[in-house]
Amino acid sequence: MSSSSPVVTKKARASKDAAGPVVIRVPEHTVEIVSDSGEGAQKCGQIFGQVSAKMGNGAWTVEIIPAEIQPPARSGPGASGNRIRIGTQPVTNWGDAANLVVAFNEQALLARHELEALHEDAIVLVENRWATHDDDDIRREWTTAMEVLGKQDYRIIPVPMEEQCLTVTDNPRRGKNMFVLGMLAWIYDRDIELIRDAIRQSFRKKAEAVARANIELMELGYRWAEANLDFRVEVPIEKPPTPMIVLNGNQALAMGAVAAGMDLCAMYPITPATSVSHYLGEIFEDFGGIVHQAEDEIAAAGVAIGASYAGKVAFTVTSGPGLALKTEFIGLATMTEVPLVVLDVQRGGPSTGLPTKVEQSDLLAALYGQPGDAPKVVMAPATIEECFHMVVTARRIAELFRCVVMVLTDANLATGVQPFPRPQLDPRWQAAPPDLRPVPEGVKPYDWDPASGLSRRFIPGQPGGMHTLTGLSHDEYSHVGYSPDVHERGCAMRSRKLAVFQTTLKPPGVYGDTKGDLLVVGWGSTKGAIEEAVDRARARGLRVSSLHLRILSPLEPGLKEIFSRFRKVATVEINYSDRLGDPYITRENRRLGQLAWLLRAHTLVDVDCWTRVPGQPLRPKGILEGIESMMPGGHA
Amino acid sequence: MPSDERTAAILAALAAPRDAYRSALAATLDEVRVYRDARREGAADRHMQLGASLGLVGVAHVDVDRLAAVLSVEAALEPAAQAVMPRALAVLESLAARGDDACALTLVPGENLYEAVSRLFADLGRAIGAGRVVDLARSGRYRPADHDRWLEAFPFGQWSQAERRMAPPVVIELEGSDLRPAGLAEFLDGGAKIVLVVHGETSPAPLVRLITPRTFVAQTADVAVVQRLAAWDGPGIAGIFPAGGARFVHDPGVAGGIGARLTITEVPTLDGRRRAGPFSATQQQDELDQLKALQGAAAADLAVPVAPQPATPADPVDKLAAWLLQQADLSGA
Repeated sequence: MSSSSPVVTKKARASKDAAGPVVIRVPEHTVEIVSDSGEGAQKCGQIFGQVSAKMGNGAWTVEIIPAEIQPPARSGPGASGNRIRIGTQPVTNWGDAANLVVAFNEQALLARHELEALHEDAIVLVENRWATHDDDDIRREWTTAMEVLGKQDYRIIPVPMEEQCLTVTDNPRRGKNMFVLGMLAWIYDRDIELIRDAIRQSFRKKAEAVARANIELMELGYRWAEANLDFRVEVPIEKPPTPMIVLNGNQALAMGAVAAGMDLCAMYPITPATSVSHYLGEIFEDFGGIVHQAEDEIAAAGVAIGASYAGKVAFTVTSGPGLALKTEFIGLATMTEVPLVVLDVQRGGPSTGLPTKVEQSDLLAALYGQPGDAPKVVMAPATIEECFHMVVTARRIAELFRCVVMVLTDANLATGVQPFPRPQLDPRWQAAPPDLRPVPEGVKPYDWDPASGLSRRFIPGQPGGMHTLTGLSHDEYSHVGYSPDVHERGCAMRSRKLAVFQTTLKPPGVYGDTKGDLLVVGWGSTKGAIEEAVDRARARGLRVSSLHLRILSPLEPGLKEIFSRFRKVATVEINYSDRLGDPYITRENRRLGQLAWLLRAHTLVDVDCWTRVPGQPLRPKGILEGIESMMPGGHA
Repeated sequence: MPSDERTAAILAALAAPRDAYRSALAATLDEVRVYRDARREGAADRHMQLGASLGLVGVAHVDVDRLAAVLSVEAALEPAAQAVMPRALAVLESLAARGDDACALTLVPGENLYEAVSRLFADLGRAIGAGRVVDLARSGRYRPADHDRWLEAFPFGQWSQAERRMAPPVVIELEGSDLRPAGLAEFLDGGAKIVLVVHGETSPAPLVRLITPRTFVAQTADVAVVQRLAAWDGPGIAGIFPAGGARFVHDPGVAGGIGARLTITEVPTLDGRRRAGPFSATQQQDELDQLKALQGAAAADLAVPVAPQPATPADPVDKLAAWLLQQADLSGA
């Protein structure tokens, strides 16, 4: 999608006149709502995004989450909120900068400005109570911030949010977000009844009076905007041809688990993966499933393996630090060939890292985290829609190949909201009952097909199937092997399955021309931003294409041949790599992006990379700069 | 067939829990049909079935023909298992074709209430039995001698907890003299809901014996109570009684103790000492005494002052949990 270009370019008037508001008609618009943590900007943004999507706009939302649970009030790092990019066409990423910003205090606003999150001519609606606050320091901070912001081309409109909210509630801190939602509803002409419904739904677990009060505040904001603002924004709606569903990535994973006929989700709470189990916990029992919160990450993996061994369809969900703890059990599942799906909602690392921020830095840990040789399938959805559908695929592949399948999503997908076509559920996605026929004499628990490594799965209690399950290296009878030959054969058989799976994969498609100067390779949630950057680069005459991988182990076939059609290949990833030109960094010692390592190893192509770890999704503008820097002859 | 006009209103009010049962039935039916079609079609179709089972991402990225070539085809069903499939399908189809009144019946005077409800659940439960038979046949564990009878009747006692959660609501019309509710406790589990439409004289508070903390129990003359029963995500029984007798609603959906859950609007006194149906005067008085005892407990519960709760959790772990829950808002998808 191209950057927004207002039909009405003149600045919105300073005050409303009889001619009514100026309508800014644009193909897309990006709004940010920022507040202190706990003031509800996120809820406001979520409802605005959902309603926009339900009305038929393309939408993509990104949560702005502080790193701390209770950061200091009125501080830049404490800014909490939501960015919502809406468009006439589908929206695939959060874009570059916000066209409209609503700030509950000037410090949060200033922080967003410093992060270059605002478009150069953004309209800013900011709470004005700080200008006249009793505290001298606060008034001084306001003045300083306004001096900085006033030097920009922003149009800053002070809004008496608290003063207005006090006419309805005693605690405006708990109501400002709904007032702002009402303002946005008027500015963007949102369906007010849909908003009322969303508020009721949001507060469904509280007393009815709570929802009523919030609706009243929202309507107050709507009326205030109508009476006082002199501009509106119209992002035309083109109703999609098929019914759409609006979910965030974690909700999509949870619904995918239901659609895939999963029986058990074993987990331990960890940001940003926890909400998968929250959502599942509300609905899973209705479908015969169970969410089990284990005592820790290790136990959660163990429970899932145990259930799967017993014939159930089980998965575990976690994030980076949890994945590290599950390492030993994932090795056990690999060795015992117990089907297991592991959902890893990636965040910044290592260690506790960036719990609430996005990163794509678990790829190599997923691939090689286990000691010994532990081959497994690794997949990564590129969109929220794929989060749903990939769980179905992962479950099936895990069972067909008796292996571990890891699905890597990330915090960007987890909390982002995007509409996508309502899935047409297919009974064939559901897990078939496990084969419990009596085991014929002579069939072994690991009766490996010598060519493929595939074997029939035994379930405990199956007549004739009794055997010892062991994590020790074992032979076809599951007997502990003491000869070098046994371990060699077991490793070969487990590895062979991946090779077999690889031979069944289709080569990936190329976005753009199938040959050119630069091929950008990505994986996971960056797809939309990469393709938007590629579009812009191509519009500038650059011969750039992109390729987005979904299956990372085994790698999709034909990559070397595809790469050979481009003068240069480079990955774009949200993980760390050294930059040439930095002190001590040479071509010899430079550490690369994780996918770049992998592609080099597999294709022997000199794959370059452009990676960043800002703790937020990549912006098309940034990727475009990366593309320009990586055009043949340059290095990131 | 039900004769009381109130039964139609009651069936309408129970649409949501009945739809849950019918939805599960339809899903099972779909699954069995797809399985049947997959097995009777040729290799190409079987490849298509394999592809479909991979989901949309799988279809986009996996060459299904190549995958089928490396996987062993699902083992053939044994003849007995093959033979039972159409019978199971027929059971599911016949149940799916029934109207809403399949969940209702009228007792012939003198008929045993427990046995009638048991038969009704066993009949409706054939959907569960048929689903289980298909699963067993597909997994190679089907034994005609043990499992065939599930297609004829699948008693409530054999339903799993998950199956009980999807139990269809049932409506029974009966004479007050046939009302022996104690046996019905056996069916009050999962999501099972029973509505009794009672004609004629009965004891004054027969349903009080069924009150337990998580069971919805109502004795009233007002059909509207069925909507509350339908909204409750658990087991329950509502009796629609003629004039006279006790009136109360025990609704576990209301947060709080017994005082909040139990609303008693009428506790009659016994006029004379005579039998009502099978119940002696002593038994009738016992029911009323039990109701009064609950009334006292409810009043005492309401009189206990609620300890003030801290506005925010004090423990850091609780704070963290509260924050995470807040961040994970799952509103309105």
